[in-house]
Amino acid sequence: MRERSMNVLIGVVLALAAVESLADAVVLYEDRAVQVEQTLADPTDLWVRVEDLMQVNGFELKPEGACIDDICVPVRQDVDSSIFVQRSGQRWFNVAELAQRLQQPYAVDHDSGVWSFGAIPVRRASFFERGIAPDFELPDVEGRLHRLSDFKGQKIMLLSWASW
Amino acid sequence: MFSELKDHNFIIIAAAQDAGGAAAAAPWYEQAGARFVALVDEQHTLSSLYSLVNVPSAVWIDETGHVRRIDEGAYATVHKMGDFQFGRDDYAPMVANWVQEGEASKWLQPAGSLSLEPPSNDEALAEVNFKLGVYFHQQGDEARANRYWEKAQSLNPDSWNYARQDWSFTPETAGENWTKKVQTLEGRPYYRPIEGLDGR
Repeated sequence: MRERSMNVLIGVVLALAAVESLADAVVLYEDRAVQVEQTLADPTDLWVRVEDLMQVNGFELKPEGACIDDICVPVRQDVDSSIFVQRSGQRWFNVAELAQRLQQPYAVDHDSGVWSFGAIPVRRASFFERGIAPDFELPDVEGRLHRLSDFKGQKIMLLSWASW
Repeated sequence: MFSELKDHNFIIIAAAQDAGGAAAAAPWYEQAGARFVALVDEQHTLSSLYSLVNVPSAVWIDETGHVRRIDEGAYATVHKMGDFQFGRDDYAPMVANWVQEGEASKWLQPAGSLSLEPPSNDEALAEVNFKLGVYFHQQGDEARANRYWEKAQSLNPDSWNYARQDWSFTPETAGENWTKKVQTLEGRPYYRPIEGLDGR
């Protein structure tokens, strides 16, 4: 009886662990909604596998840290920390912690696991400090994608409007 | 206007700030006979990137990629609806002057001279909450969409885009909501005054 109880307990723990490692999430960033198949369950943070980081927010984990363009946030990868951990050989990266270090706004709907990340302030400096038009990519009504930078060299009037 | 100016190395890129996507925007583009670049912007990306809070709003970008005017109520003409009228007919001539005169245009502001303020913390949080609302709207979860759209409006009450996008799904009360919000302006302009035209 005692052995059976122990087996049940082990089963529950294993099941919980499986649920934790297989929790999924949706990340909204720069007009994309990325389905992340595996995250570490955490009530306050978003841990993704290092190999998923690029598709989530464009960052790449390099020896010197998490990098995009000419920005690198130092990340030690030989010890667990608030931004990086290893579990059973799998490397996990905390996207919410990165956002906090970059002062990047975010909001989360915990019930559905949907995270919405805003612009990274340092990446917008060229606009606010020098007036360089930020690039974007949007579809036309037939789904063809157009980038603002495709039209560089012309005078451009951007016009926001709405049907409402 | 675009037909008359397109031979002057000039392009209009319009972006519909519509969570309803192409289904909402396409009929309007079709009716307008759009010959410019006609885009669909479900997440209000253009407004986010350029800190625009109302529509229509225009941004002028020169050949080197610098912003030369921004955040202006860019009507092509005055529209009349019974006794009510809106819009203006003095903006399009400014655009035409810039396109034809280039750097010599008196309407062009010096590159790098614009006062561009980064969003406040609340404004930045409003944006990410608004985008959560768009996501849930697209998923058909209107209750959750409304929750985040209302949060966005409370964080950034200056954004007419957040409010009017939200109201667009309850057209029976949209007019009343708009009137109430206009009253909160207490004399402040509905659109930012246009430099050179509105006493600035």
